[in-house]
Amino acid sequence: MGQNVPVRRALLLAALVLLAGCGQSTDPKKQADDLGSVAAEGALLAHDAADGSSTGPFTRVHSGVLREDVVELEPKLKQRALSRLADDIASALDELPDRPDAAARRLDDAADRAEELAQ
Amino acid sequence: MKGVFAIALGILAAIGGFVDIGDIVFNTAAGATFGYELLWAVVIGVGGIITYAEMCGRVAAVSERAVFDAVRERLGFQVGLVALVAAQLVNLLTIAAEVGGVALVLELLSGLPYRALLVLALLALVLVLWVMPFGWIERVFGYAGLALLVFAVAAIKLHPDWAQVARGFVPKAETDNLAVYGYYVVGLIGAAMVPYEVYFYSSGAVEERWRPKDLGINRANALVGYTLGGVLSFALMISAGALLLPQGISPEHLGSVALVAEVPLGQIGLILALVGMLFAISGAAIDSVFAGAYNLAQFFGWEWGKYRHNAGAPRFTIMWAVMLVLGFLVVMTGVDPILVTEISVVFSVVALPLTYLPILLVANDRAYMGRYGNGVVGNVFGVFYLAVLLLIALAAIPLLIASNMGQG
Repeated sequence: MGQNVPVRRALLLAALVLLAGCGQSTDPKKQADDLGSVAAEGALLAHDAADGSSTGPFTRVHSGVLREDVVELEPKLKQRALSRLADDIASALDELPDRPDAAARRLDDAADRAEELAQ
Repeated sequence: MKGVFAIALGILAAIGGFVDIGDIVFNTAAGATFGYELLWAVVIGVGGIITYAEMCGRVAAVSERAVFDAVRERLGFQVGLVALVAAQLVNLLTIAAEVGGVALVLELLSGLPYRALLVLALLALVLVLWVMPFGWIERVFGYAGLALLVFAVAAIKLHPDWAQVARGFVPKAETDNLAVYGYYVVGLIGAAMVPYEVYFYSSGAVEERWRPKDLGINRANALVGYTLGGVLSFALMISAGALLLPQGISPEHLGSVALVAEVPLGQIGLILALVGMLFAISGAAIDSVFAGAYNLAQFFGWEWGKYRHNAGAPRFTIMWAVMLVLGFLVVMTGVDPILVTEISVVFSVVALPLTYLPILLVANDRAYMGRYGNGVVGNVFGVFYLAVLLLIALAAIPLLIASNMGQG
């Protein structure tokens, strides 16, 4: 009986962790912040790629990872402006490895829009 | 030169243990969220790990026994078994995260598919663990991991406000969201003192056959190695505070961390950052795999040690192979290695007192340690840190929930 207590505690902790992980934000301000974060990071990457300061594999892989972040956010977005912004960011990230200059401009713009939406 | 090689254990334990995938992401995220405000928490963590690494290295040098020997002897079989199960679960999560992290960095370097690189990472780690002598593992992974010092250069090149940086070493909480702040404090201290670091360090001391005459080397290893780890943590946090915070970027990936070196230093910064991360995370994978096997072997009284060669300690060899393959299977399910690390850090925080209390007790036992037992200063630090660990162990889970895993 006594030996089951640690096991039960461990299961309880695991459940708490899962619960904490399930608490994804549906707050539009937080969602705008999250999209702005991805756009700003994508813009940094795009500027570096355009300057030749990055490597091909890194640019391709990391822009793909950032795009996945947007894909994960998209289903939770309730406001049309946020959904449109997410689409623009995703499409700019798709463009990033091949046309970093253009992607940088679009992502800079998207980061600014996200900031406005967050306010 | 001999002196430089002599501190390799501390450097590997620090580079592989202190600066593992969790620390790399956690420190960067802390800098991007709170700027330089949490630098003091790294100081607390570094002080704690130096205190206890020195203590368990001393115990190993004097008694030729590592941490889990002491855990079983001091806590008894039943409580010791609970500590062992907790340690092994955390180790398994850590191994999974580190193996996944190795594959993620290889992906960022090569652009090849992640799952194929997971298999490659597993094979490479098995080869290294099987073939390479302990001393060479220390040197190769410890010193190659020093490429992470590129983040110190990046921090300087990003021109942070040094007055603000200095203020970050004074604890204060100027934030609306105390739960997130507390979560990062617990995470930073917990990540600095993850138990596998001391399991590996003390067992490594036995592997290196330290004796009382080597206590100076032990002190140098603990002090230099973990201070270096702390410097790398500062560099990550300062770089992120200078570059990512003003732009509202919340880094959640290893690529985001590499970007922090790429922006100020270009391609060379990126490549050094990725190579440093590759060796540091591989070192952490090796540390945690060995730590898992050491714990089991010491608890059950099996032959153990890399110095015995693979056939000389068969159960130990089988156990490290099993731990590594289990960790590999966990990440092959597709779970995010970064998420696994964050969870493992929080769970390890809960288990911290069970690891560190027996070390403190044994280091104070004159029958065991003779004239090499703890002095007043060692005990003051030891008791202080044990109290800190108890506090953060109690706070870890509530903060994890209240802060939504630091997401606010």
